[in-house]
Amino acid sequence: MSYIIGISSFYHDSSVAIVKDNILIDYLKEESFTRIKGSSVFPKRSLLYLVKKYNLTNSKIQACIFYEKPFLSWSIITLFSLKKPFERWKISSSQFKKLWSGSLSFSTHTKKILNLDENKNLYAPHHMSHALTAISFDKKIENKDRLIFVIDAVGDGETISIFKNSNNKFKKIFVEEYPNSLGLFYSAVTDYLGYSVNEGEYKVMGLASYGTPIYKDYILENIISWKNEKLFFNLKWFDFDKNPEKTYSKIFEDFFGKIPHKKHFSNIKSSEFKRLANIAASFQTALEEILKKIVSWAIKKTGITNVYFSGGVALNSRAMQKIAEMEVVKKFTIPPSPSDTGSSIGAASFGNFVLNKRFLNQTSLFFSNNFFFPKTNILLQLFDEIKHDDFFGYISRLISQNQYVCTFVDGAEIGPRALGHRSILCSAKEISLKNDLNRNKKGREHFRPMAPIVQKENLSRYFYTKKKYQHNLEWMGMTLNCKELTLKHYPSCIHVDKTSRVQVVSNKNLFIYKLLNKLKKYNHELILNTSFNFAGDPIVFDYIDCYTAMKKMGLNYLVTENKIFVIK
Amino acid sequence: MLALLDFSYAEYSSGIEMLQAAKLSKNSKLARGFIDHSLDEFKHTAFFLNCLKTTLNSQNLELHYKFDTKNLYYLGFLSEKKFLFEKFDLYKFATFVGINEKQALLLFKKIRKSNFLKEISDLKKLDQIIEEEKKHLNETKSDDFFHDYDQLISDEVKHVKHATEFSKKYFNNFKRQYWNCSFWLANKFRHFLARNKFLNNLFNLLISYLIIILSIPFKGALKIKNRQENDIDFSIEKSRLIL
Repeated sequence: MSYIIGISSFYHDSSVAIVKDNILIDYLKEESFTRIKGSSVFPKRSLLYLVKKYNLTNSKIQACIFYEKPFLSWSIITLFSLKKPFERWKISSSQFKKLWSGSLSFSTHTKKILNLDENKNLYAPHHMSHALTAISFDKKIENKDRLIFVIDAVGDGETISIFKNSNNKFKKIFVEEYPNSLGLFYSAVTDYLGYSVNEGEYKVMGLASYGTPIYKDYILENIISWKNEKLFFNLKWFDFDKNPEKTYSKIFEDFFGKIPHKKHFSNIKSSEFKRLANIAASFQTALEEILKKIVSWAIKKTGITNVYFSGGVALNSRAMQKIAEMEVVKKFTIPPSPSDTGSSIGAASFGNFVLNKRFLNQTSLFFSNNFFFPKTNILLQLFDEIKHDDFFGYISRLISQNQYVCTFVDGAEIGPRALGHRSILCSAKEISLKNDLNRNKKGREHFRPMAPIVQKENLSRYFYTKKKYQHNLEWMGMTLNCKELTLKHYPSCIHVDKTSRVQVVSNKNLFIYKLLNKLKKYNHELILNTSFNFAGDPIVFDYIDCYTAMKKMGLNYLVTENKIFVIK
Repeated sequence: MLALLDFSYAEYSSGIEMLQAAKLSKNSKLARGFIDHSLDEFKHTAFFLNCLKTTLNSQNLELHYKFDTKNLYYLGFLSEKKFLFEKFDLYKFATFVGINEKQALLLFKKIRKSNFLKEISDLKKLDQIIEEEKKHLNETKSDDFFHDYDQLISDEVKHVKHATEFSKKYFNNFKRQYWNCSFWLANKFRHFLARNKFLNNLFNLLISYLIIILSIPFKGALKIKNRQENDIDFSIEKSRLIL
């Protein structure tokens, strides 16, 4: 009996994946324990939890795989900073500090927590971890040719990697190196707009829909573009190579104008909101255009049309829609957790191939059912059970009466998007409910869209869709264009650009599928879904989190363990 | 305004600590108390963030006063290694909470009298916070608190008899004063180090120049060759390398 452990840590969103007999059996994010969103600390608590749950000891662990090459990663940034030491001294000193607290300390942690033999520590190339995460969710085991794009901020000094994969062989056909980074390009505008890097990028994507890309051509001409089979990148517009706390430069600020204040986002009709939306739209469309060019180039070079996307940039669901819809792309896949959080799965898959000659696949979307944590019988102290005759009937009646229902059912979602297991659900018919959720309940920006859930058989009635990318909708991997019927009946789940990041359910055993069945009685074929957390907090992990999140948001109903509860 | 941001961080981190205490506590009644305390602290965070937001009229200030929970670690509000409830036994934890709540109360009272807060016009809410802080302070300061704790955790006390004896033995008045002082000093020192930009910059500058000087003779050797098209190597030897 031996386990393989994959670990992602030290930059953002630490996580642990554990594999047994070639199957991913558990997956945990450290933020679930620390309750600090995007927690980058070594996932000590997740590991200790798994040690207890699976009774892990050194002899039972085959290997522990880190999701990058620590020294390679460290040395590339350090050497880059030393090229202009006086300009980049802040980066140099920050790198020096990472010598003892960053990824180079990986083996010290595994020794301390798992008492692991030194030779059981393995290191996967960072972009290879992402690439293997991308193929881990393939439902069929087949030897097909794949073209895998990994695009993120930076990992092991690489910012773009394109892999050709056939018959368990991977060949890297293209690599772009730091500092030329599409990920850091998008992070710069995120930072400029006042959002946190590695967290606020999806807010920029949402804001972009309100704007017109008036700066796109200028950006492609002067800042970033795909030219002569290479990424042209003008570093003068950025400061991430000089300052670990600021990503855009003075030139950037001078051109795009004053740094926005949060109050400017409050009035959608103001000229300042329009200016900021135009900037977001320009960066978004420039990104989409470059990605499309890179994809076209790689398909032409290899002749492979079965495309996979991974890395942080793959979380940009709008850009993913644009790529998926390209004529030259015949099949398109994004994993449910393409960013660093999910790359612990890829790292585990890497280790499994090194040791057992098999990659992971058929990975589930839900893990770690934490009903037993904490052990105290806290549920009934915090909630009162509602007695009823019909479980799904009661919930659907609540939803039809415009109530919010929080769900904590079965395992937690593997990716960043709530898929009905750790969700807040409500009617998709009322725009007022969405606005209330955004502004008053969750404390989010008013312009943020919310997504619907629909049964697979009803998808084409409400959205324009193609089979080649439909499987990604099970984990909300990309947006779709809406039909008029959706606009008419379910306006709250449609963004201003008439797109929607739809979740499709086809598994008839899932809670959400059964609920949608029952909701038909009330003439609801779509339901509004948002993650079960207060803005800035991680998604709930146990009953105590459920209670505190519901108290913060003023929500009443919780569904868990096939029962319905009301908060005390 | 830095103070408002610091209050927000302090309240939030306190909320996180209380939440962890609730999760780690084996006594469900005790856990419930920690949860309520935690919710109060999160409410206070929201209050201070709201104050901060209303005062940030100057556009350029927004950047410097961005509330990001990931900063809780490097600003010294939370420890990466252990939460307080993991680090201390219940009595030390209670003492620690007591000293912190007292400090918070003093600060809130000070703010209450300042002109700055008057401008924000949410004094009513602050009064509420002061009341809640008083409540927490009383919970942790009075002898009843320890007695109540003993009752709440009576089941645990039976099982961990030695721990209780240890606590009773060590938590006389003198010891409590000692812990109060040491926690107070440790807090001040931790935040001073984290927040002192001059010291930080000086330290960073010295380190970076040290690296630059040390790296000069090795600059050639440290060069990493450009990566090209290649097959991925899945050998165990290669995967053991950190480079």
